[in-house]
Amino acid sequence: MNTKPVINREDEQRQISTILQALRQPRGTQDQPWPIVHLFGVAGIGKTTLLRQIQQQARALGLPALWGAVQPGEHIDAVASQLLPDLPSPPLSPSPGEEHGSAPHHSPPGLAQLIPGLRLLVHQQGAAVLLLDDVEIGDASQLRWLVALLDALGKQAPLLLVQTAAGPLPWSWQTVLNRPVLPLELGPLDHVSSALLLERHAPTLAPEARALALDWADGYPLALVVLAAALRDGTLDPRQPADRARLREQLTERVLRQGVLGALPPEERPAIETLLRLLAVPRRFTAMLLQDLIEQFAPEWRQGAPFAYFFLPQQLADRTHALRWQSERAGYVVVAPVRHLLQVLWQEEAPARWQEILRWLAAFQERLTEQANGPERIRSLADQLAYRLLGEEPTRRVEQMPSVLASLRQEPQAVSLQVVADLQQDQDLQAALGEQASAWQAALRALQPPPS
Amino acid sequence: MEQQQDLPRGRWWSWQAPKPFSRPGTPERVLAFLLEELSWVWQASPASPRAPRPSPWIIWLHDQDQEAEAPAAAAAAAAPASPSTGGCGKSTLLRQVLALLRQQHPRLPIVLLDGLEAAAQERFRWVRQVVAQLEAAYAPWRANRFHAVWARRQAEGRLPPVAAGVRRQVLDLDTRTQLWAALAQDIAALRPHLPAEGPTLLVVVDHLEQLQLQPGPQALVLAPGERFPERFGLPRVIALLVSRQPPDWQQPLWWGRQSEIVTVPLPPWSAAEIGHLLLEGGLQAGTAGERLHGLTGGHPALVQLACEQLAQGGLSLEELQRLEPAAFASRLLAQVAALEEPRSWWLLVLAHLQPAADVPVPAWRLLSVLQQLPPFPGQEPPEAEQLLEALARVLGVRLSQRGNDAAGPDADGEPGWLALQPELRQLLRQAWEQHDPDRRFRRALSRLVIASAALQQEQARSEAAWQASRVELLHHQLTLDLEEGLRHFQQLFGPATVGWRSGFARILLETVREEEPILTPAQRWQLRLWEAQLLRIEEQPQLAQTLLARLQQEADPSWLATQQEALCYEFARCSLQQQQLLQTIHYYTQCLELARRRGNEEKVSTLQGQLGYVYRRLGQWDEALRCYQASLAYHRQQGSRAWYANLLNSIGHVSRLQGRIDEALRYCLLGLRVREELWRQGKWNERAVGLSHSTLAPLYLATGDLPQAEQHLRQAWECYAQVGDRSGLAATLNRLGQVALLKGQLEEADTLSTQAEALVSGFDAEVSIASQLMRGRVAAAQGDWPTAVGRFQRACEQARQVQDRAQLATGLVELMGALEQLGRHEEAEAAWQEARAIAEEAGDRWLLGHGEEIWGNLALAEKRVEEAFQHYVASCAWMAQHHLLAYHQAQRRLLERLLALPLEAIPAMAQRVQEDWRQRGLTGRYPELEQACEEILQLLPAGLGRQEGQEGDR
Repeated sequence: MNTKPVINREDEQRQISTILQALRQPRGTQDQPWPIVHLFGVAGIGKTTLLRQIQQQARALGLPALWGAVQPGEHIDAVASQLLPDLPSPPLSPSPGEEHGSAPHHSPPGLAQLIPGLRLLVHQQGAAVLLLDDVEIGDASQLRWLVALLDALGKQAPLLLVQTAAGPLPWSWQTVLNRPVLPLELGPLDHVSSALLLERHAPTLAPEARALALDWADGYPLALVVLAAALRDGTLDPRQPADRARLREQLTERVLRQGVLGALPPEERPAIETLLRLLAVPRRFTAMLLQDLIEQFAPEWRQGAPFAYFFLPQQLADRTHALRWQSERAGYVVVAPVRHLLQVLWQEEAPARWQEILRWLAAFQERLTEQANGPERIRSLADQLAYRLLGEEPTRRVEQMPSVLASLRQEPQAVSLQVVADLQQDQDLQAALGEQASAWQAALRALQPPPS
Repeated sequence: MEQQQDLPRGRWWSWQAPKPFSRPGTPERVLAFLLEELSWVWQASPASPRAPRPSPWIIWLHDQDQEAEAPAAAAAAAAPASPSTGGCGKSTLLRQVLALLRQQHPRLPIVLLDGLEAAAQERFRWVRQVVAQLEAAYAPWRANRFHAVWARRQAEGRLPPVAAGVRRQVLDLDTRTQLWAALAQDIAALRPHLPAEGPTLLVVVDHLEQLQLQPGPQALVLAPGERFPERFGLPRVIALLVSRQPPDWQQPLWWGRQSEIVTVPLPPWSAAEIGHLLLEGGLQAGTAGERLHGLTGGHPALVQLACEQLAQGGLSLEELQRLEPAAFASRLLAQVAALEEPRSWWLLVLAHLQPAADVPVPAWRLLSVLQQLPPFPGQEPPEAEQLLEALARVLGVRLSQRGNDAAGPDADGEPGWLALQPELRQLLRQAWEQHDPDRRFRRALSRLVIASAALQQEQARSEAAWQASRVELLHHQLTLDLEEGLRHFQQLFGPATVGWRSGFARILLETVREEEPILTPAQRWQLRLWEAQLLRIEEQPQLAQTLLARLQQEADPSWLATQQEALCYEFARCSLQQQQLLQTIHYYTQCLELARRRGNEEKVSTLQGQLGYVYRRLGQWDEALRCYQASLAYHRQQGSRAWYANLLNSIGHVSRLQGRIDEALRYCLLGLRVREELWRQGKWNERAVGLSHSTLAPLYLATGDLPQAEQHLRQAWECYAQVGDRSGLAATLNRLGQVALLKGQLEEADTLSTQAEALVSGFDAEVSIASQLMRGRVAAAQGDWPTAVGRFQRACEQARQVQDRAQLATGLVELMGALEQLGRHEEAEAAWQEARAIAEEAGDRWLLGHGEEIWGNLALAEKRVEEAFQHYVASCAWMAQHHLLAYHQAQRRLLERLLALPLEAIPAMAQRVQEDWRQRGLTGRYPELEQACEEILQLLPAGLGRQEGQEGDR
C-alpha cells in the first residue's frame, strides 16, 4: 500500500474528509441519503492512488474501508470475492429481530453474499466505506449491480460508496441510482506537484530531461511516470532527435495506447487513435466541425449518413472517456492531459501538418462566422483568431498579432469587446502561446477602449 | 462490453422525474374555491338568497405574470405583445383538480378539450363528445332526436367534410339550427332526471390560448346566438378554462362577461417554495432559493431542471451564486447538449420540429422523423409508447389530452400533440445553435419533414388542423431556403389577413420572426412592414403607425423607394382605423398616383373603391357613388370577384342612404349571393357575408319588414362572432336595438346599445356614435329629455371630431327635438340650422324630412297647428324626393294628425295642406297628398266640408 501523501489532490481529499467525518457521527443526525463519490478522469490521472489515500483516511478515522477493483472483462459481481474476506459472516439462522436478512431474490451470487455481510458490518461498526476501483460506466450490468446493492442496503444506511471510473457518471446512472452524487474530476497536476512527482520517480534527472518531462507531460501523472522511467537511467538525451523519438514512442505506447485506449479491442485502437489525434487540434468541436474535419483529413472515418456525425463525438467519449462536452466552450474537447500529449506529438512528429490543420480551422471558423449568430458567433470569432495566431510560425506570431486582430475592427464594438474579453480569459491559448502570451495580452488590451 | 439497452426497459427509459410539482393545498384550494364560490349555482332552488346576483360559472385559471395587465393594455404599450411564457403548472394543477372533483362527484359528466389538439377543434365533433358524455352519465337517457338529425344530415352529406356538390351554408347555420333544435328537445326530456343539486356538466378546456387563434372557440358553438363555452341548455354547468393569459375583456367573446367568470391566477414558484424543494432534494439551500428564483422566474420547468443539476452534482450551489444568466441557461441544458442519452436527442429533434413558441407538433411527426434517422447509438428507433412516456416525464413538455375523459384525466388516450414550454424550447434552440451553427443538420431534418408531407395525401381536416400543417411546412421551408420560405409565407399571410384569420397570420409571422437573426436587412425591414400590417388588422393602428414611422427612419432609402406604395397604403389604412378620414384620403390619393404610374389598373380600381368608402363616411354620397361605380366597372369584367361583391354591397349601402331602396336591395342581395358562393369555395371569409347581412337589415327596416330585418341581423351576428369582429358585432347590436325600439322594448334597446358602445369604445367612432344616438332615442322615447340631450350632444361632439358629417347631421336633428322639449329654443334652432346645411349639402332628403316632421310635432304639441302642418307638408315634400315609400309613410302620418284635429278645424287645415302642396309644385308628380285631402273634405259631414271662399282656389 502506498503510504506517501497524494500529490495535488488536497481539494478532493478535503471534500471527502468532510463526508467521512459526517459518517462517523451517530446516525440520528443524518436523515439524508449518503452521496456517492464518483472520482473520474482519464487513465493514469491518479484515481486509484487517490482512492487508496481515501481508504487510509477512512481507516484512520476508525471506519471500515472495503476495497474492490473491477477487472476489465469480468462481471462486477466478481468483486464480491475481494470484499467478503473483510466482512463479518452473518449468522446462518438469524435470531428474531435480526435485520440483516438475505439478499433479494435473483441477486447474483456474489451480491447475495455481500449484502448481508455489509448490513452486518454497518450494524456492528455503525458505518462503512466501500471503495470500488475502475467501475465501467458504459456497462449496464454494473449499474444494475450497484443499484441492487444500494437498494438492498437502503438510502439511509451509513455506507459511503466511493468509486472511480474513466468518465463522468452519465445522467441516466444518476437518476437510476437516485442518490446525490459528488462528482470529482481529477485533472492534471500543477507545476509544483508535477515536479514533486517527477522527483519521486526520477530524483537525479538532468535539467534538460526534467524540463522536457515537465513540458511534455504537463501534469499528466502517467506521462510523468513513463517519462521518468525512460529518462531515469540517463541513456536517452532529450536534445537528440532519435532519443526524443524514442521518448515519444514510449508515451504513445504506454500512455495513449495502453492507457487511454487500453479498454478498447486492440484492432480498434489505431483507427480511434487517428481520430483522437485529429480531434486534439481544434479548441472545441461539435458534429458539424467533426464532419468537415473528417472529410478533409480523415476520410476513412467518413460516415454514411449526416446524422451519424451527430452521435460520433458521444460515441467516442463513451469508448475512450477522453472527450467531454464542455458547457463553457459549447462543444466537445479532448480532455486536457490527453490533448496536450497529442499536441506534443503533433508538433514533434508532423508540425507542417499541424499548421495546415490550424489554418484550415481558421478558414472554417471564418466561414462559420458569417452564418452563426448570438453567442455562437462570438465563440466562432474567438476561435478563428486563435487558430490564425497558432497557425503562424512561432517566430512570426508576435509580429502577426496586430494583423490577426485587425478583422475585429470590422465588427460592432459590443461584439469585438466580447471577443477580446473571451480571448483574454482563454487559459488554453495562453498556455499554447507560452512566452508570447504577454505580447498577446498587450495586443488585446490595445483593442479595448481607454478607461473613461 | 454490454450495451446500455440491456437494462430492464422500465428502469432505463423512465426518466425518474423529480417529485411532481407539489404546491401544498393548491389543487384543494382551487377545488374548494370551486365548490364554495359556485355552490349557489348548484342549488336547486331559484329562490336562493344569492340567486339575484349574476352567476359566475366559469373558472379561468391562468399564469399570474399576465394578471397585471390585460392583453389589450399590453398591446397599447410600445412594443407588440410578445407571447406569454406559461409553464407555471396549470395543466398539472388541472389534472389534480379533476382527480379531486372526480372523487367527490363520480357521476359528473366531464368533457375535456385540449387546445393543443388541432384536430379536435371542430364543432360537430365537439358536440358529439358532449352528447356522449351526457349519455354515459345520465343513462338510460339518450339524445335520440339529436342522433336522428345527425344521421339524416350525415346521409345528406351536410356534415363536415361536406360532400362534393352539396351547397354548404355559411357557418353551417341550417345544420346547426336543426341539430340544436333536436338536442334542445332531448335536453328538455333529460331535465326532470337531472340531479337536484350539484353541477350537471363540467366543461374543461386546457391550453385555451391555442383555441383563441382563428377560427377561435366560438367556432365550436352549436346553438346559434350562443357564446362559448356553451351550456347546451343544461342548468348548473361549470366551465373550467385553463389559459396562459387572463381573459381579454375587450375581445368580443369575453366582453361584458366579468360577472360570469372568476379568474384564478397561478403564480410561478416563489423563492420560499424553491428553497423548500431544494431541501427536499437534500441540499442546504441557504440563499439558493432566491438566487434560483431570480434566474428562473419561478418557472417550474426551469426550477426542476436546476434542482436536478444541483442534486446530481452537475451544478454546485457556489456556481449557482456566481453564474451569469446566460451561462446558467447553458448549464441547465448541459445534459441535453452532451447528448448522453436518447431522450436528449428526442428533445432536440422536437425543438426543431416545433415551428414557433405556441405551435404544437403532432406526435406521429416526431416519431416518424426519429424512425427515419439513424437511431441513437446503441438503441433502436423508439416506439410511440416509449417515446411519449419518456417525454411525458420531462417538465416543460406539454402533451395534449384526448377529449374522451370517461375514464378520468389520468387515463387519457394517447396524446396526439406535443409542445415544448417556451423556456425549454428556447434552451434547446440554443443547444442547436451550439451543435449546428450552419444549420446543416436542421436542414436535413426539415428535408425529411417536407418529403414526408409531400407523400401524404391531402385529407379533409378542420381549419385548425389545416393551419397547423401550413405553419409546420412554412417553418421547414424557411429552414431549407429562406427566400423560398418567405415567398411561401406571403402566399399564406395575405389570404390570412384578408380572410380575418389574424391569429393564423400572427403565428405565421412569429414563425418567420424566429429566423430574424439570419435575415438580411431588407428582409428584416419587410418583416417590420408585415408586422405593421398585422397590427393594424389586430385593431392596433397606433402601434402599427409607430412601427411604420420607425421603419421609414431606419430602412435604407432604396428599399423604401421599392415599398413606397405599400407603406403609403398601410398609413392610409391606419388613418382610416383611427377615423382620420381626411388623412386617409390624402394617403389613398398618393397610392392612386403611384399605382397609376405603375400602370396597375386593378390596384387603381381597388383604391377608387376604397376612396369611395371614405367619401361615404364623410357624407359625400355622390362622390362615393362615383368612386364605387368606377371601381365596379373594372372588377365586374376582370378584377377580383370578392372586391366586386364588396362594391355591390357598398353601392347598395349608399343607395339606401339616398332613398333608392329597391335598387339597394338588388345590389345587396346580389352581393350576398356572390359572397356566399366565394365562402363556399373557401375563397372568402365569414365577415364579408356578415357585412352583407348587416347592410340588408336596415333595408328591411326601412320597408318595415321587422322579421326579415331580424333574421339578417342574427345571421350577421353569427358571422361577426365567428371572426371576433368588434365593430361588426357592435353595429349589429345597435341595429337590434333599433328593432327593439321599434317594438317598444325600450329597456332592451338601451341594453343592446350600451353593449355596442362599450364594445367599440375608443376604437370605432362610427359605431360608437351610432350607439350614443340610439341611446339618446331610447331616452327620448322614455321622455327623459335631459338624458337624451346629453347623449345626443356627446354623439354630435364625437361626430365633429371624426368629421362624420352624416351622423353629425342626424345627431343634430335628434338634439334639436330634445332641446325643444326642454324649451331651449335657440339652441334647438341652431342645431337645426347646422343639420339642415349639412343635409342639404349631402342631399340627405330623408333627414331633412325627418327634421321637418320633428318641428311639426313640436309645434303641434304647443298648439301651433298651422305652423305644424307647414312642417308636415315640408316633410312630405322631402320624403317624396327621397323615396316613395318614405313619402307614403310621411303622408300617412300627416293625414293621421290632420284627422286627429277637432272636426271643425279639419277642413281649413286640409285646404291649407292642399294649397301648400300645390305651391310646391308637387301635385303633378305626387298627387296623392292633395287627393287624400280632397277625399277627406268630401267625406266630412255637411257643414264641415270645404270652407266658403276656398272652393276652386287653385
